[in-house]
Amino acid sequence: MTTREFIGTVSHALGRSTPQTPAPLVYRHSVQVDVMQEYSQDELTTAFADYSRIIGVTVFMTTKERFPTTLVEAVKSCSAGNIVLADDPLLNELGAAQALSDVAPAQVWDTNSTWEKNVRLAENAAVGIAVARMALAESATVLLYSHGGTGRSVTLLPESTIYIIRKSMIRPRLTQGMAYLQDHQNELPSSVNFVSGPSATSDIELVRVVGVHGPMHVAHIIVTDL
Amino acid sequence: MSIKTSDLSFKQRMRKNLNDSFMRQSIAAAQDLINEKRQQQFDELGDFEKWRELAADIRSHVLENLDFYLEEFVSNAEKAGATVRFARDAVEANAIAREIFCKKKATRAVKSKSMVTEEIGLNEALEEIGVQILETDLGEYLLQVDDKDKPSHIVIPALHKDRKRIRQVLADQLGYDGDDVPENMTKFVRGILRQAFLAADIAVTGCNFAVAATGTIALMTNEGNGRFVTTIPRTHIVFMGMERIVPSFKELDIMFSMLARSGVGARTSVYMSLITGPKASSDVDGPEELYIIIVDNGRSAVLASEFRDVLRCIRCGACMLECPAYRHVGGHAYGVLYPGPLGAALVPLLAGYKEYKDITKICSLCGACNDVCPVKIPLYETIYQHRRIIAEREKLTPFLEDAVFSVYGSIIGHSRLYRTATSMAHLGNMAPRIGPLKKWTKSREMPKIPKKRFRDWFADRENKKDEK
Ligand code: SF4
Repeated sequence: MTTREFIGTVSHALGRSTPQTPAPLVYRHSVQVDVMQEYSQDELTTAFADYSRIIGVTVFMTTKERFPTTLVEAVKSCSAGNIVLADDPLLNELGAAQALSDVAPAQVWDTNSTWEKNVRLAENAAVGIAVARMALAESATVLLYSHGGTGRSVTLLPESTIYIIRKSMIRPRLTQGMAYLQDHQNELPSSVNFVSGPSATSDIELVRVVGVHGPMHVAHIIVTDL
Repeated sequence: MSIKTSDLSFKQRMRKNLNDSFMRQSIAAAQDLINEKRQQQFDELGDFEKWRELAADIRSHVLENLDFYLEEFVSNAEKAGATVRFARDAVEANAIAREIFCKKKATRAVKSKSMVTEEIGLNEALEEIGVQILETDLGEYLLQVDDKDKPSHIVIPALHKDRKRIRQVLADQLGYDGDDVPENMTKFVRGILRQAFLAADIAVTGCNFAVAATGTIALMTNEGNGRFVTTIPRTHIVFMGMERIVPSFKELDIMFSMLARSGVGARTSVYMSLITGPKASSDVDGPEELYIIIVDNGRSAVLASEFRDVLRCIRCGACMLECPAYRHVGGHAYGVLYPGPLGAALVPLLAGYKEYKDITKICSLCGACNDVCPVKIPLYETIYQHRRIIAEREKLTPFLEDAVFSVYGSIIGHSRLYRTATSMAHLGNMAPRIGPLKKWTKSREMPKIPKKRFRDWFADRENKKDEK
């Protein structure tokens, strides 16, 4: 069936022969933008950190200067084993790889290497480390672009994930996350993820079990002077 | 599977399910737990009515302009590198899927929970050509390994199984020798499915929402299987019911906010994956090919009908969790893929009154579903209208007997007053809402509503029949 035939059937069902440009969609309310509107950046950060803890995420607050020490601490709170780092300019700037050199074998996702090598790297790692674009206070969610140096596998295959979060990029809720995507919709990567804590299920007798297919542990490192 | 999930007659299904006490208890427990969590979430969010007005407005706007938005979506998805195909019905959708599997010489597929693929019977169609397709949502997987048992709820498919049964199935089918602690059984399945993910040729998913402005597919999961299937296999096939569209990310915010809270009473799902085209050349992992199969399967007829509003549904499952009839009879009693008020409203439209007239009876018209539906679908009015049509136009039932005050309707009270699965004591108001019946009842008298438990009522009715 062609596009035209299919769309034609839909138009016909709507009582016309071809699609018409819709009248603008009017929002009767603005409830979504009202949430946490009056919060200061500090209050948003506290709300984000508090809800992160509630959903089982370990939270670290640090500065750029103390970042290497905090990262080591965060890695020690996770499952022991190899580490895979996203190839992200911020991680270089903060000296992530150097900080970890004495702690565990740490390797960076390599866009010049093959699928097999990279996926194996992530599959054999116990911890994956990546940088969030934005974080949402209401639901302790991080917005993650999974592309290029931040391969999709980095935050999925290892048992633990550590997200680095810029304090200045903590926003109230999904509304702001979606507005960000809308503003950048012309350069959208093929995979964008909103992630809120460790993978979980309640499929057996509604008992919450953490760690089904994705990570079992998640840590948020909030860098307060970024 | 397909829309129909049982070959038993209506009466047989009722009997079987009313006697299944574990199922009845677990449904009741799930209703109480999730309904309370949902209520808490919306209380905390505030302005539930305004939120759902927004959500309903968005869905109505999309449906009224579905041709325009579909065209926009298709054009943007193609620009992003996806291949878009169209299927009028289940046969066409399955044929397209088979064609892709054959072209790719693919024999192993992993699937992340998708209602529309169940609706079209995709698993069976692929198995016929030798493809092994594994469900990766834990609940769906547990059903699949239990001799393809059927789901009893659209969000929590294995709701009717207890841990003992699950342990037994894992032991018999997969050699599991651990205990019946959910953590341990989950860990065992995690190991099996991880290998399946890594070995799969093709990933199959549904689509919670599709963003017209960017050609993006939005997938929500808690377990991470939605992310997994869009990370490892080299080909990704999306099945999308044609009404899943939102105009832009702005609307996705509202819809997602409602779906997470209404579905399982959470502020958000753990993952929302937004997939726009296949992986870029600068990406290492992710599928190289992305196919999007847009499925009609009866939807355009619903769109043209007086029942267009039913297509606003976002498959959250709240209506069934709120429904006192569902509480009594359980998901399997409906014998269809979509149980509860949604099923009674939608299935006769998608698949015909003749075969599915009986499920419209599993409803007291109490209206509890309307109160929780995040997109304000007039569910009980729709069900009532179906009964009228079944009696008056289709002449499939005598109107007075079944159409209005369905026999089932008279025994089920309002859910808010309805506290346990087994006791109907102290029920005050068991009457249907009069609203939609007003006109009709002008010329007729309201029947007396017996204050009896549903199962007792059903047993009595059957006994009387047997005596005759
Ligand atoms: S009909 Fe409404 S409450 Fe029921 S599943 Fe659909 S959206 Fe949810």
